[in-house]
Amino acid sequence: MSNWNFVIAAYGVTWATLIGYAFGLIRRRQRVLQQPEVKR
Amino acid sequence: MSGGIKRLRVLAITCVVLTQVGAFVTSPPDALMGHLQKIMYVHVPSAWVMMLAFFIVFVYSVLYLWRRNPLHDLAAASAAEVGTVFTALTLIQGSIWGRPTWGVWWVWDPRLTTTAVLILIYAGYLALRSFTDDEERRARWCAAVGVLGFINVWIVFMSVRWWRTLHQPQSSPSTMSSEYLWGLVANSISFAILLAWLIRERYEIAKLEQAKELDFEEAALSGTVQHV
Repeated sequence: MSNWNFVIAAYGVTWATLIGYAFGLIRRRQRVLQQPEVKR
Repeated sequence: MSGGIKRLRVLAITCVVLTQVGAFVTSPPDALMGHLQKIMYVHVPSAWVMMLAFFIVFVYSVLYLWRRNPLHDLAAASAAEVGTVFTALTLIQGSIWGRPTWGVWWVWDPRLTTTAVLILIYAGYLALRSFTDDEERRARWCAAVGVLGFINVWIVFMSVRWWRTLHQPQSSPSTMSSEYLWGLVANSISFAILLAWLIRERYEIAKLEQAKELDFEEAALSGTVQHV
């Protein structure tokens, strides 16, 4: 197996995880901000 | 969204893209490892920022135990979550590098074993946060784990010096050629900025969620809660 496969796997896992996590955080903050206000 | 986070996000993404592409494209193949050497530009910065994140957990845990400010607990928890993500990445990247280099995906080497223990400690820290609804007790328990868990970060760091390990010692200017060094330093800095952004983003969520929860509890206790 070519060494390039391992390089691509390492970069792929890293950036898929970090991009997924960062987008998850951004969306979660937007969801919290969109939650209905508590009215008293 | 506060301008501070937005600027930090733009800075982090810009720095990471520039340094990752720059180091990947310009680094020549290593005499022994060939192109596998390029994994260093994600593995080593991930490992460094993992330790940095747990140092932040340690600092905010000490601050919490000293001042009892709930915001310090939220900051420690945010850093613990992001640090755990980077620890998982460090282990996976190392395993991918180890297979063609050492011939195995995993070996019970002191550096690898102590890092595996590290992820268990901080996964335990995150799990501990859902064990109790008492915020003060949860913060106190987690601060204790945040302080004691940091001992293992030091053991991970020193493991390649204390024991004869399969894992090579820390990369430094004295052990590396300059054509690889600049990329490693630049990527370590850009990963540190990325870490700062992710922790800040996670901390803002934690603060917002806590504020909403408190607001709802107060309204519920006053018996006047009503959604709009």
